[in-house]
Amino acid sequence: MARLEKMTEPERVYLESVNCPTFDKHPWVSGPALNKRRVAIVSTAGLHRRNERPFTLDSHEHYRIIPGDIKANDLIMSHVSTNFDHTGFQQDWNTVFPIDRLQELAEKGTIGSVADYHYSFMGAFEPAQFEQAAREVAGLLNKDNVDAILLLPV
Amino acid sequence: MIPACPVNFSGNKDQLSDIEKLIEAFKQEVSGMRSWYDIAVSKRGRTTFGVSHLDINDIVHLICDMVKGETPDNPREDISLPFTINYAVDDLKAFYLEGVTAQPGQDSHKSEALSDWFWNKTIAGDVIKQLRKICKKSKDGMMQIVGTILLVPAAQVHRKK
Repeated sequence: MARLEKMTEPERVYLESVNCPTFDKHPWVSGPALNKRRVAIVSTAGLHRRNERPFTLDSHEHYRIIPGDIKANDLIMSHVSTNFDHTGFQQDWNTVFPIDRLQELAEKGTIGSVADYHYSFMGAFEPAQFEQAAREVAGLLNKDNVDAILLLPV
Repeated sequence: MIPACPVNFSGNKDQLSDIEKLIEAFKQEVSGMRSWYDIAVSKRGRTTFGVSHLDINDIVHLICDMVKGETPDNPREDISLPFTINYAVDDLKAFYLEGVTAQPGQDSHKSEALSDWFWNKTIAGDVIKQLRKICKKSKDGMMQIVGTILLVPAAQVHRKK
């Protein structure tokens, strides 16, 4: 878990200056029990398939689709920020893409199933710039009958 | 004493500039890390190296050309040279960090210790700091951004000596 008190002063000052959104309405909804839910991963770690073009600062290209049956060696990371620590991902892909843990939970019946597709954004933009892409991804998740998201703000 | 081989391939290193000495030492260090990287890939069955789509030799050449003050041809057509350089540096870091964590007793280091090791104990770290200076002076705006914020972590730039 990242903690502000462990960060360098420039990082801490920047993060403390970021505005948190407020909502006029209660944004959360109820749903079925966890063991009935179909779960997808949505990450902001800049993950994608090895043969794909890396993320850049192109503001028209916000997310990539990750098939649920991807192999560990086919997933790489191109988050542009050098402040973003890759060492956990280098040692175990589950630190940023916990697909093995989700499969185990599905096998045990703790969750209903694992989605066929997962999604990664590259979180180096203002959150409002993601709105259109977020709506696109929400539509795709709906088509995959997903009703629970594991958000990984790495 | 008669040398084992009458031809001296090493050249006169006294005549090298500081940058050329840095580059020679960097190439030697990369060669030394290669076996550990290969062992790491074999042990883990995977690698995070490869985002630049270049092999380690091409990465070393690209970075060294930049450090010598040259503007190399972009080996990729789908992204601009500043991003190719950014991802070449990412791959170089992956090559070192995956390699060093395959060494005996090195597999449980904290990320801060690994970062401190790379940036302060390796020649590769010195080379990228030199690359950063060159990118920051570039006339290309994106190259300046890469040099200013995308090559060396803020924690290392602001690190107290």
